[in-house]
Amino acid sequence: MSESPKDPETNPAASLPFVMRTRFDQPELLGASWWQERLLAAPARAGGSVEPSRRQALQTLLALGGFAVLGVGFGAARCSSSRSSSTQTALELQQTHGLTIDANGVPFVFADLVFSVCDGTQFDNAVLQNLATLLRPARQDLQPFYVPTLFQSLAAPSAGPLRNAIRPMHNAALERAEARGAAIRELLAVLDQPQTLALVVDLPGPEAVAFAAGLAGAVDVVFGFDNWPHPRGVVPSHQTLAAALYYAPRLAQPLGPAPRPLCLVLDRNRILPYHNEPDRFDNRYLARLPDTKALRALGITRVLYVAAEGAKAEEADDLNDEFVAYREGGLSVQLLGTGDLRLADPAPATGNNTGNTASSTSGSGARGGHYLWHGSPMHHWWFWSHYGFPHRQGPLAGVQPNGPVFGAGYRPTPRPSAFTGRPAGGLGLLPSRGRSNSSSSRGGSWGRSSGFTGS
Amino acid sequence: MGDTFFGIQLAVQSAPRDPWRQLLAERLRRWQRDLGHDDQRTLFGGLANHLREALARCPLGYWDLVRDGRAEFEEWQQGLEDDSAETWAPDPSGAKLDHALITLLFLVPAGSPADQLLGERCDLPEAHWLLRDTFAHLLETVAMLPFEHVRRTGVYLTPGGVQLAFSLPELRGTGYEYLEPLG
Repeated sequence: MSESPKDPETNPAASLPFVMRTRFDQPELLGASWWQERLLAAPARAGGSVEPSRRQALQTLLALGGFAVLGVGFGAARCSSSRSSSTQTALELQQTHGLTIDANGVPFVFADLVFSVCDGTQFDNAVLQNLATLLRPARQDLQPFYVPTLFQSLAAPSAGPLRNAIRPMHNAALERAEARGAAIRELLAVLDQPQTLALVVDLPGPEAVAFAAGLAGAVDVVFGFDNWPHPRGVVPSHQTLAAALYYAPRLAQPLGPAPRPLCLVLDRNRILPYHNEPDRFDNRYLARLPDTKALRALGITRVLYVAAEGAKAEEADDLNDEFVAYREGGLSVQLLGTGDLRLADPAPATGNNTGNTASSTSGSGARGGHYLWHGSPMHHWWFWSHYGFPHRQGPLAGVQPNGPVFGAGYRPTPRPSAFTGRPAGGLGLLPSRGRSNSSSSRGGSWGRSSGFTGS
Repeated sequence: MGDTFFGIQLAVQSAPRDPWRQLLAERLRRWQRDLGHDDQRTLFGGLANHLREALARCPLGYWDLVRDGRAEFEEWQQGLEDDSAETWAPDPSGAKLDHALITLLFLVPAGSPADQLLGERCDLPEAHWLLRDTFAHLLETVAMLPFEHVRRTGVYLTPGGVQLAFSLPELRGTGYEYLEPLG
């Protein structure tokens, strides 16, 4: 068999089905791994590990959910070896039996659909087939953390009803989220050592996308959307997709100068309450983030968690284990509430030229207006001082806000939730449907399941 | 039903700077990029042939086929990749340093043609599992895989530097208990 690798220049990666996810070329290890994204796998984290507590969390969830189907992503993958082979997660069910399984004719319902995208051009539905590739991180070392499951759903053969219905979505809430992202982008211009910062944007899906779009170009965006949409889904992921279609040109734009912060984008709706209602499809899932070791390997020492306006001043329940591990691993973990990013106070009418106006510090350019930290240019430039991040002087001398700052004093602390705690005999995955596969259930396995590293 | 995991690991006698291993390393480096189906077929077909040539020099090996085996794939992958984070420390016992480990990993969708192929070709009598002929058969299977129906693949050479090597006692010791002598 001859080997004649095609020239990457003439054989663009975007057209190749096997995407390289990890690569090693060092004295300890030489090798690589690939995923065939077009097979629409439930991808697994390649750069980190899953703690037992998270697995227990999954089991607890399943126990709480009775017979509910739970799209649990990696947690399910790690549990799969102990799970009955006659059950499937929501995602597996959709991948096997169709994206709209059990929809019973219920259509996808969208709001605020538009015909153009964020750069003003007409929406081109060709993007539906390659959204997962389009939004893949440019940096190879970040690709293992990219979870494109939701974006991949658009290319599924069974996604015809979704593709027929979906268009870009845009509304005032997205404009506001985008403008808030742009406010942070403006601040990043004076941040020292930006490559040591990871933003974890955890907002309702469409707003998370819009916030990331506001930051686009100044950060390396890595999406973590790990489910498929469903017309009766607990998680309205189809709206997240519609927002991603609107902002795709911005999110896929060339990146600004390195070094840049990392921006991990999550859908806060992934763990919306669900009480086993028979008319809903449980497409919830647990977030997957790089673990401490992986973040450190990327040079990251600070994590800034971006929480939604009105949310509690703490990380989402399914992130508690990971965030506590971050802190215990020596990472700085802090909290930013988007409610603290406020529409700029009206410019003073004095005409003085101190540069003390919102517009003079602008540059964010989002259509939702100019948002500033605590609504004032002076407070805005106090932002990095508040968080204790090394930075240069902004265009204005910062002034500490008078009022409370959301999340001040926040510190990740172990807490009980539906995602932590007691190990349970997790029954509750829906029985699988259709034929069984034909492969042998037994090969050369000696039952080994650990101790493989030899170190 | 979850995906099916198939993995092979071989300990090959290969001294530092062994031309066979240098060629293997070059082969791996050449394909470290996004790949097409034909690329995968060429890569793993070439690796299969390369390893078959060295089977007589493989004292130890291991293979596994696990239905619903995504977790196994990830454990193998994670275990191997975690090694990259630790600086290589040669066996200090004074034993000859002349072995390397090569690992091939696959995850295929249940019920797919790749799964069926693996199911058929790996359904072997237990008494044959650890024969070199069986490994030759398994490597041949790797070369036959329809990569259009393979979800994930991985290939790893440990150590990565061709000037480094394990000792055989090391591979028979702690941490490598799962490796079995080949007959």
